Amino acid sequence: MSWPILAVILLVPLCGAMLLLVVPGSRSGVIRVVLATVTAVTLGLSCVLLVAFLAVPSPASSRLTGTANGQSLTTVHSPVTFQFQEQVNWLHTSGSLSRFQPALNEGNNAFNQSGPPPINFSFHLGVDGLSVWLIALAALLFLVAAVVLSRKEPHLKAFAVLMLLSEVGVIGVLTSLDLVLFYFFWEAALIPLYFLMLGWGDERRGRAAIKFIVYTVAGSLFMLLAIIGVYFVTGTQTGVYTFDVPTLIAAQSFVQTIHSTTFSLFGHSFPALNPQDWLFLAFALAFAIKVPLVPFHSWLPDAYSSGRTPFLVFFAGIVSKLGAFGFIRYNLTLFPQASHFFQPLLMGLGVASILYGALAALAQSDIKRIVAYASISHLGFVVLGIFALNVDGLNGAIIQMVNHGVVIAALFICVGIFEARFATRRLADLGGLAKAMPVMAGVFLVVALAGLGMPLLNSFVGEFLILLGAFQVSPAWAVIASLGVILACWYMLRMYQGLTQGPLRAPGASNEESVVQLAVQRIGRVDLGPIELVALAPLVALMVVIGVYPAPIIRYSRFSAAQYVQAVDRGSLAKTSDRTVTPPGSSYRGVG
Amino acid sequence: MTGLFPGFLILSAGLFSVGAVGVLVRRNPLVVFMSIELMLNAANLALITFARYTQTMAGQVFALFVIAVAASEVVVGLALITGVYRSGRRLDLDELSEMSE
Amino acid sequence: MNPTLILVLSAVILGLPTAGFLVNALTLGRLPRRLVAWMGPGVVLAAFAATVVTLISMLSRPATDRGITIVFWHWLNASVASGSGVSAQAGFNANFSVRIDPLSVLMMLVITGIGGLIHVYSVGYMAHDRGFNRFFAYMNLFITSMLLLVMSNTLVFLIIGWAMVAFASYALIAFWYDRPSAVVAGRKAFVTQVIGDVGLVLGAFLIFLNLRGPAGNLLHTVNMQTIFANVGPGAHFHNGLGAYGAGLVTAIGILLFLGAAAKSAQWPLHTWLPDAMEGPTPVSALIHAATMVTAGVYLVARFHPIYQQAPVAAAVVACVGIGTALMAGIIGCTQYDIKRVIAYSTMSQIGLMIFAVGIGAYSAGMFQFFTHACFKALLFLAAGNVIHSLHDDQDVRLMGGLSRRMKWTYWSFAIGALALSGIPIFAGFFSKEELLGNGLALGPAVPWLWVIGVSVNVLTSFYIFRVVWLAFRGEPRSEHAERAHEAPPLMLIPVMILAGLATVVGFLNIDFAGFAPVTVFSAFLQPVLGSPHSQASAAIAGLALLAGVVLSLLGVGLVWAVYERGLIARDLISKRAAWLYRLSFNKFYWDEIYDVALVRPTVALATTVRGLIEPNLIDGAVTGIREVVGTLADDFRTFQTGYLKDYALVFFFFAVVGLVVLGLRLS
Repeated sequence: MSWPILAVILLVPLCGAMLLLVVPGSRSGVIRVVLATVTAVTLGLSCVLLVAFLAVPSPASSRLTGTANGQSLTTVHSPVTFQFQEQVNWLHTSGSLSRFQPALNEGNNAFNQSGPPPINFSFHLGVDGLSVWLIALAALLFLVAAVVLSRKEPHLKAFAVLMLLSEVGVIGVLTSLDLVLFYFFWEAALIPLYFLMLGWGDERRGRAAIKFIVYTVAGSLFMLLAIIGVYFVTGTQTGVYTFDVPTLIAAQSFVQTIHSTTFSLFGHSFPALNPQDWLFLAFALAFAIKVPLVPFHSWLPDAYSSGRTPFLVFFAGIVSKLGAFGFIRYNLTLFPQASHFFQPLLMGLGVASILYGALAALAQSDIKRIVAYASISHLGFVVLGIFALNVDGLNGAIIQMVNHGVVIAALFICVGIFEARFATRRLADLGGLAKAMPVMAGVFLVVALAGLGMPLLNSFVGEFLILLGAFQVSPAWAVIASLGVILACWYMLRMYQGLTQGPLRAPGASNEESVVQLAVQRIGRVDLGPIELVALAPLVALMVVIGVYPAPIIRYSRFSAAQYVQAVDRGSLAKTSDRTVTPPGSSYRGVG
Repeated sequence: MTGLFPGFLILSAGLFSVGAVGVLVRRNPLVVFMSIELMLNAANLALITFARYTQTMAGQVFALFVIAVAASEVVVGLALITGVYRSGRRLDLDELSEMSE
Repeated sequence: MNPTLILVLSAVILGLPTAGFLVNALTLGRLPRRLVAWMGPGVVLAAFAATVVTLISMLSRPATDRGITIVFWHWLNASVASGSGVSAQAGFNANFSVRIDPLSVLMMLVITGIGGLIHVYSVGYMAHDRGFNRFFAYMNLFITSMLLLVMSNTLVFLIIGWAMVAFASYALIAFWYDRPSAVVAGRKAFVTQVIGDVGLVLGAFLIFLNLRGPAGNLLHTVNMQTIFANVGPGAHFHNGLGAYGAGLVTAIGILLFLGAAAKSAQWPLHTWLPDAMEGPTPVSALIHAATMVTAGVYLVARFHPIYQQAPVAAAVVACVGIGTALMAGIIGCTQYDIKRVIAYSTMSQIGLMIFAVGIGAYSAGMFQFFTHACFKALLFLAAGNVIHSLHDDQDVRLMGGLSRRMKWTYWSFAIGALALSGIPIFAGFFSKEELLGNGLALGPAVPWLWVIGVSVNVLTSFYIFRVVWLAFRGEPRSEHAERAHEAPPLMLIPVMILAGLATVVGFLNIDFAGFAPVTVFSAFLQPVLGSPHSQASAAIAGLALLAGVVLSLLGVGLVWAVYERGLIARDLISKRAAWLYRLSFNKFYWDEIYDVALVRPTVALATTVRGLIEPNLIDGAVTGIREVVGTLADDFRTFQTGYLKDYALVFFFFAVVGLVVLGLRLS
């Protein structure tokens, strides 16, 4: 591709936001059209990217010649390759400032060239088989959100501008290949999201927004420290001081992690954590909060239950994927040894999230909260798949990220439809609505089935692969995680049946006519309207298509998944480690 | 040529001090603003001096950055001052103390 | 067989009911009823016709060449070949392929044939229902799923069909969704099925990850033909499943059986079946007689190469089967709901089939499945006629004397009852005697299982003829029963066709375990299932035959003595052995046990999470941190005077201090 498609995808929503600023706030029709057009163009571009992605013959791999401790090492290829790379130097200092600060380098023997490390970051974009899908998903969900955004939304213009700005941030996170740029987008996305959460929603939105921002910023700060840490740790060991992600990934092949020290506790001796482990944990904390994993999920139920539907479509649909994306892109590749070391911890947290989310969902009385906890449970599967550290688990995780985005967005739209018509979110207040809204009941059924992992719908594929991946690492955990599938069936049916089946029930209405009347008074109709149908149709279609024929998605993701596995397998190859690590496997191991 | 460098640096320090005192003692925001500009330019002068001294570009680059930042700062700052004035209040920094809650 | 022909035929067989479902679903129930009334049964009967063509095409080939595998599409492939800087990585891969062989064709014949008749019957039964179109959408979906289950050659698609059947059955059980009991029953069925699905999935994982080819290489396949070819007997089997040997293959067998037990309503996953009678009666006939519940039998028969290597798992299967047969038989004797009696009878009969496939009599098990599909569908549909004409009364205590008003239904039901009891010349006689004859010959060393199996005959004929007597004979005991009328022809004709079938299909396999071998049926399945390892000797078979018939007649005789003549008091058991009666009447208390042992603890845990852990532990930690920070913030608040110059002064002060410190250190 001769033109910088990624930069264009980033610029389109940004320009759209600028354009919206000059539209008068009273012209709500124009605002909606502009918003829908901009998001549709972004989606179109990301589809072009998808098509072009497979057409590129073979991705160029970055090469790196490393030196460590004065010895020259052989050239290595980055185990993870990226396509459509665009790089513009942003800030680049040479080392000759050094004469002013000779003191800074004292005691740093590994790096004995004259001068401090150069500061070096660039505007570097690129995609792989993981991010290319998430970009498409993000673009789709923003379009869907634009469609469901009501004309009567208060402060429509501000909402639309903030929405487009968060789209820029989200796509920036997914495309950036420079740690500084990544961090910039990561934080930049937070700001519009915070204001969207603060400005629109029910009465508890203020508390939810504060909780969200404090949580995520706290996580991000650790990540910022860790980004600087990666820069210096990699630099001192290999002489390569850079924030450039492909180079850093390649450089990890030279980074030695030595565990000579141990500490003892209660009579057992444990290997002391080395810098890599701390960096891994700092990154993991930021991502675990974003996903969120239990027990860092406290911000989520409040945020999801107080937000407006269009906000939730992209917030729940794509923002939570950024955490999982970060785990794969940064934790696995930059800290291969630590990934192996903390594999049990992260898989454990994944399983805990699955079960905890499912149990909590089972007991909720607020339908939005049921979906919120269901989301925690589903994302637990994603993390479980990622930290299975094998091809099946990773492919499953990638496909499940797409699935979860589609399903959770559709679930929030459905739940929002009930809320808008009957002005209640209490499950006990509603019932038997299939009589009054048969089309809605049918669509909601498909969505709920996708949510509970019904075969021939999308989630099954992901959950199947994830469980298969986890099973290879630990059959016991896979079995425990599969209890989550049974619970999912339970809580989803509880919600679906509670809303649509049983005797007809709605606040202030006793029979079918009065239910219909009530909804018509409030919103003009009772069953699905054309706009709602247009918003749900692509999501439902995707659920069916991915479920019946998932091969295309895997065709994109499997190459990258194999690369990530290869990247993380370097961690198990290290000779100097005194940890017992599993032998590297290019094929399956039997089950013990 | 080396002999001139202390002179530039002393000038820079002097300008900086004048600016700092201005910021601390004046109550008119416009004057405070000018004092800040004075400090920034004192820093620029020092940066360029050192750049010249070490025969590198880095100092000059940073000076350019500072100029750009100063320009945008003026834009924002003047807009704020105008905003305060429009709201019908006296331009006195001691009157603007809402930040204490 | 011509692969192209079979490809087209199997695409038609799978595609027609799918199309029926999609058309009904996507038009959102707006199609005219008359069209649906033709389309719904039409697609299934057309699929039946295509299956018959497949059968004919198959019969034209020699017996050894009747299996064919057809690949439809690559479902997914996560493997990567080496190149472009990546080393080869083996990932999950699966096709969607179907297997057409005698076993799957037999299943397809029953599913589409009996299913088609039930569809026709439903047109009459559901004629006045509000959800007519929705009903046929679900029914067609059910047929599709069931066909997918039996035709699939890939373990994954078998699981997919397995779960889709579960969903379709849920949708049909909860069809009358404004009845709370139907809603709960549907959910119970679905959740139970999912438990079975998980077992199946885990079993599939074990096979996929551990199966080795002849050269000792891991195969990583879910292709069922490849699996069966490599789990062969003897030394090859150890080769086949790696170093874990018998333990692993036993685990696989038991995990697969977990799926089978959930679907076939075997203990311990049986409690959903009686509740599932909340669905419309044709649903009961379709799901709980002819097709869905027999999927477990099919699964064990299909995976017999694995069960042959796993004697422990096979023994578990056999014991669970015979135990369920006995338990369900006992429960059936005391129930009053006509459909529940037949449901427990189904559970009991399927227990016998599971017993048969557990002991290795695969062909006998499948034959029992075949005849059972005919006579059980007959019983359900005949019962449906009764219920329909009694305005949805299902309690036999409110019936009586129906034989005079519903002559055709009565005789059909009676034929069904005779076939079920295993009275000679009716279908059940042949299949059951073959099954029990095999049971005696093949069973575990101790013939106790056989003894139990045979004594179930007494219970079977007792509970079914008890229903015949209570419902059809004697005097009407309710207004509805007095005004009962015969069913319309649309509902009567399928019943009579089934009655005909229930009378004659037994002759397909007159085996009598060696007496008069006309084993058309076994010979047909032999290429897939193989022959039984040993044949019962004529003497033993004769004994088994005689015992079975005598015990069945004993059951009928008991009913006659109790309900016709009153020779034995009706409340004999409830008076003399009250505990037994209560145990039977309350279904062995399984519902209550599960409620206390599983449901309540889970709900309690969930409530704890929501009410205790979430607000206190998770949010509490956050609130705690906020309070600490808040207190600190209050202390520092006095610094915030709001005067810009104060801030600037502090800033400059510390800047100067910093400079001084730096200067001191540098100098």
